[in-house]
Amino acid sequence: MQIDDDTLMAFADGELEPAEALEVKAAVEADPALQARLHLFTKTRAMLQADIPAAQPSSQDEDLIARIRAASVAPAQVAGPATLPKPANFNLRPFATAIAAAFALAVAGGIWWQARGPDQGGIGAAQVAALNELPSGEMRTLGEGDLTMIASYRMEDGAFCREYQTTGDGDARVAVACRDADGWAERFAADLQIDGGYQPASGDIPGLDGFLTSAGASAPLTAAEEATALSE
Amino acid sequence: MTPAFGEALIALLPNLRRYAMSLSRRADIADDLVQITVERALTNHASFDPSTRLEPWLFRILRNAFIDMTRRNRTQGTQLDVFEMPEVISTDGEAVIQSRLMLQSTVEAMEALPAEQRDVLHLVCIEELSYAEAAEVLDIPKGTVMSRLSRARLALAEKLGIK
Repeated sequence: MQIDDDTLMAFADGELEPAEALEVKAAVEADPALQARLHLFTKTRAMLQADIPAAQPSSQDEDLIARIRAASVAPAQVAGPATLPKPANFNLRPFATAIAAAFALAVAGGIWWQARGPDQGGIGAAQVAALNELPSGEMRTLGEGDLTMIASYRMEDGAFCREYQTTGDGDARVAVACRDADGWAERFAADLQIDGGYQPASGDIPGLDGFLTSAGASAPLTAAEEATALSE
Repeated sequence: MTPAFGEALIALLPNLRRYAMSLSRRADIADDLVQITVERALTNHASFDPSTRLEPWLFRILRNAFIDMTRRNRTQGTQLDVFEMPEVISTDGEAVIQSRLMLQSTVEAMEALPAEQRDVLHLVCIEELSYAEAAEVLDIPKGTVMSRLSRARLALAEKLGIK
């Protein structure tokens, strides 16, 4: 049996059909020259496997991971075909439009701006924990719903603030909380209703952009800036 | 897009970066290529067939992005020294030069191979794609993958002094 290099290599790589592999095996066993040739193919693969450095995570991955997670948030609720968000008119929040589009949000009313107060009333312990540690673009399950961290900002007055969305039981709520010496206080909130049949043309959440503008919000912090702020 | 797709994509970021480095040999370009690949994967996730593996689909996107980039650079008249495309370089010339070098490590030996051989070697022997998957990524027939790969391995064995 004449066996060429390609066939011998395919045998070494387990790429032959069982019947052909048996034939080649028999031929190799009977022929020392073929055995030596086969060794070249098995050995090169083994050396590459052993010597080429393993694929390592990179610091560059952080932003990509946030980007991917934001794009894959809560797809179960998507009513129509999922599309990637176009930048909103107010292009401050990289994740918000993705999330809003994915949820097909309709505003049910109940928007209010809350005067900044010292208490953390309305913010449960689990949410406070998320505000303290969850990176933007990531989601965490809290009790009966999910909390998705959308973005972090520095306000004009220096406050560190985070925009996040909570969902549960068919309702969704977007809020901005800011941190001061006493902990986290909510400074903006809007109740949203998930409505599978209706998708607004834009992912904008009424009132939110106005709030961010009036509070002098910075552009969303980068992952590194956010991590620094969270560790303060 | 499902969270599972996103997580699978995240898990493969290091492999994408390693392949991008193998193609471009420059960290900054590899970063760009991975970024472009992620964006295209998110945009086109619906065209991924879940009955197949994600690796070849992503590697193909990345490789096409690299070719686009190389082509654009070429039409812009930018220097091409880092983009050795297989068509551009005569493998014979390289072989002559490389045979004079004493190559000690597998990495160096692989680096010294012509780009087209390095590419197929990376996909099959390092990323462990099947011949059919590598053919898909490289957009060449499976028979061509096999002949290119066997030549690459024989060349590598010679450089490494495997007997």
